Amino acid sequence: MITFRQRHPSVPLALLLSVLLLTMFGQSPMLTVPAFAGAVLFLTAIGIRGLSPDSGSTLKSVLGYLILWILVTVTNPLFSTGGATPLAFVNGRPYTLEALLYGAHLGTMLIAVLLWFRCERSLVPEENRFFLFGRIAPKLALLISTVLRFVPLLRRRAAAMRNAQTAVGVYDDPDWLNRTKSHMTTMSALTTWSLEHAIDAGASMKARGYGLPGRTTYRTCRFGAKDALCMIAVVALTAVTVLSLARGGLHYDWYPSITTKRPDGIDRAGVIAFSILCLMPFLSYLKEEIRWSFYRSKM
Amino acid sequence: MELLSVENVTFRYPKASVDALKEVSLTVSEGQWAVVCGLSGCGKSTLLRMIKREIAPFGDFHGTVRFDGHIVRSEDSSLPVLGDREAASGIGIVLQDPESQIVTDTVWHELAFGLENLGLPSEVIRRRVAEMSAFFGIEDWYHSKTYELSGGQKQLLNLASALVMNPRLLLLDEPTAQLDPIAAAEFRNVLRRVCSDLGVTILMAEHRLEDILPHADRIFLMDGGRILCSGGAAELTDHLHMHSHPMAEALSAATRIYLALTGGPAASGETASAGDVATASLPLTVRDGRAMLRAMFPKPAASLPAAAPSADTDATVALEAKGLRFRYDRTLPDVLSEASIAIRAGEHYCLLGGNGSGKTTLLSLLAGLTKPYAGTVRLFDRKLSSFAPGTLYRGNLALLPQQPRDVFTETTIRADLLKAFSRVDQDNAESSMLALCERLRITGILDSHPYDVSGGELQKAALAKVLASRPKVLLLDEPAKGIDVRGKGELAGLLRDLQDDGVAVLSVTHDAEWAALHADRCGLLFDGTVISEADPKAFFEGNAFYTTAANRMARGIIDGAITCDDVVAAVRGRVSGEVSS
Repeated sequence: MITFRQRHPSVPLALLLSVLLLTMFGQSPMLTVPAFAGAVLFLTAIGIRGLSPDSGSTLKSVLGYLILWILVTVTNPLFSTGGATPLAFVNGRPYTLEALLYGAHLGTMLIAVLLWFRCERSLVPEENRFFLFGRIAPKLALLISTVLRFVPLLRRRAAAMRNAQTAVGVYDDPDWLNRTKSHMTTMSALTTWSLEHAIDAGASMKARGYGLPGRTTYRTCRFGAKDALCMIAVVALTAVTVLSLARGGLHYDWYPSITTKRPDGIDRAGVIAFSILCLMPFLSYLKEEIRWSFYRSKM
Repeated sequence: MELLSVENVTFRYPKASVDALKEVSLTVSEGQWAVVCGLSGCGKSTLLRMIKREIAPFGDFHGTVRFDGHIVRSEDSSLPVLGDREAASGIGIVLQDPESQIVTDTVWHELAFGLENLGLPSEVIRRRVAEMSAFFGIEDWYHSKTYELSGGQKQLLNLASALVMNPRLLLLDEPTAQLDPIAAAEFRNVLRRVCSDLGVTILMAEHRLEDILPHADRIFLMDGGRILCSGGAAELTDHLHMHSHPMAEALSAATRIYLALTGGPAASGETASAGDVATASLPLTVRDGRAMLRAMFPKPAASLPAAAPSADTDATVALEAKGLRFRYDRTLPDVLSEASIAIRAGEHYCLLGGNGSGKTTLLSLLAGLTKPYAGTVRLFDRKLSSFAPGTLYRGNLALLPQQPRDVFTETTIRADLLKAFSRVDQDNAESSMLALCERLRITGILDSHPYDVSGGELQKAALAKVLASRPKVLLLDEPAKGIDVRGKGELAGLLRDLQDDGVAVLSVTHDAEWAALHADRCGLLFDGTVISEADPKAFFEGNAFYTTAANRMARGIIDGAITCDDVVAAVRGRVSGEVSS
């Protein structure tokens, strides 16, 4: 299993928050590229192992991301005409190399962010996410849980009702107005069903003592020494990256031509720190894999 | 020791003209398994809700309910009252619908829910949840989503989530009415363990006496809001038989045969005319019944004269499906593979099959609601797809879904039915609707909301709506589910009338008794295809397990006996020498 899943949920959450914010607001290819690479490595690794919650549609989603990236890259020069190196002229407007590269940077950033959101589902198990919620707002947490239960139920009920109505000939009317009316009636019947369901669920909640004072929660996560160690690492790596960002070391000027400061030691440290941060999920997974293969060989 | 006592409880729903409960008094001792039985609408559910005050309906209440000496509900407010916490944890309840009682999205959270409400520390919650999961064998699906569970699992989860709070009294309102026979039997087995291993007192409302009498310590028979009789299985049987109560039909096959042969337990001492019905006590189970029959028929086996083949095989084929293949997703296995079925005009075909065997899927393919990826469905030798819009579901084909409430969209049953009838015949809608409702005996519920009537009544009303379009082929999904014995009889009578008018009826069901009594032909859906098609007699004779209780009782003793009437006829025939033995 993935080590991060066993940590206190605040650790992966801090890591995610840090990577996402630095990628989005760092505005530097020195950050977007490692962020992208880290997410891809991690998702590929767990995808191969079949641990990803959505491993079914890999090819489709890769294609989707690729199309999105190309779209952002090639359309940016159409909106932004800055840049000193025109590649072509579209309707008399220059289509520049710099704008194209900036588009590629933007696209990479966008996809990196999207991919990290995907990583989140594997990094924080659902019940742990629930626990974090539960600490802050227990009522809200319960509400979310009931809604999560209700949505698939409603969908199934809607389909069943539609079928039932079809088979008694309600949607067969040659007049489209009557047909539309029938669909509306079905929708309103579905609403009635939802309310009825809510009453039953409410009765079931009350029957089991919901509303008594002093409610507790089942799930507790302890913040242990290992969690602390991990948290310190995340915070320290973030701090180094922020420092180099604040000094302007990772800043890129895109227009009219791409210029950047010559990196010094701290800038290099910043990039390395951020790269480690982005690779943490993958590395922890790799470590686990290696440990397992040794463990197995001893069995 | 008395754990629960209900004293002179009278209750009337707001705006109702009659009392739902009239002077009901009963007591249940600690550790007992008590059953309240009666037809739909007799007040048994209302009675259970009086005891669980958190979900008690509003209305005019008189009398007293005590739990362990404390007042649960009383009109006299001066008496000491059971605390909220004790009431919530001390009395657990499981209702009829498995779906609507589940609150949260995961199994573990559902189990923990009640304990969280009680405010127990998380270590205690964990331990109790773990214990309960082990007791119920829930470990395998502990992390599952609640909406992924089967009906039987859902109801087990509801039971576990009530029991995890350590109740001393468990109330059950027809908990197995929505389950298939296998899941229902499993549920009852778990209940038996709950009663005997955990010592939890059970009060259960049920109208399927057959399954529950062997377990029950004490039975209360309710009718019209009153308790007519209380006592053990023998007293109840006696009462039902003496007063020809409709619930007598709900007794087990063994008991009914015994009653038919002896003329009732009270009279059994004197009646010698039925021959030597030798049994020490009232037979309740198949085993008891076999012993009774074996004593009368020593080897070799007797056999009934073969019945004349009844079905006219040259009747026109109304609905025919050939080589249907269907799967829900490309990656999933076939639900149906090469399924073929033909239903003739005027016959009642019963398709039996286990849970998840694809019965409902087949119905939806036959009704043209989903499309097979191979194979064809033909209605009167025309492809379903060749019917013009507005013709297929009018006067040709109709489907009654498993959940009858899905058929209704209006706020009263009357409005809904009128709309359906006027779609076919504008002028005579009202009169033809009332005539059908009269026939189904549902005129009394026409002004109710579809959700406010009992399951059996709603089933009949839904059938009325389905019949409004005057279909020539009627598809029924579990038509007898959740209906009491009287309702089943009425439903069967109506179907028989339709058949006489040439309507082809296909019902898919788990209910072997229903099929044996009312079908012209039976088939078994297994592994995606229809196998062993035959008339009920041949069909059930060939089956060893998937058959009626009477057949299981008489197997090897009286060959060819499928229904209770067959067995009784065989015994009577032996007396007069007709049966070859």
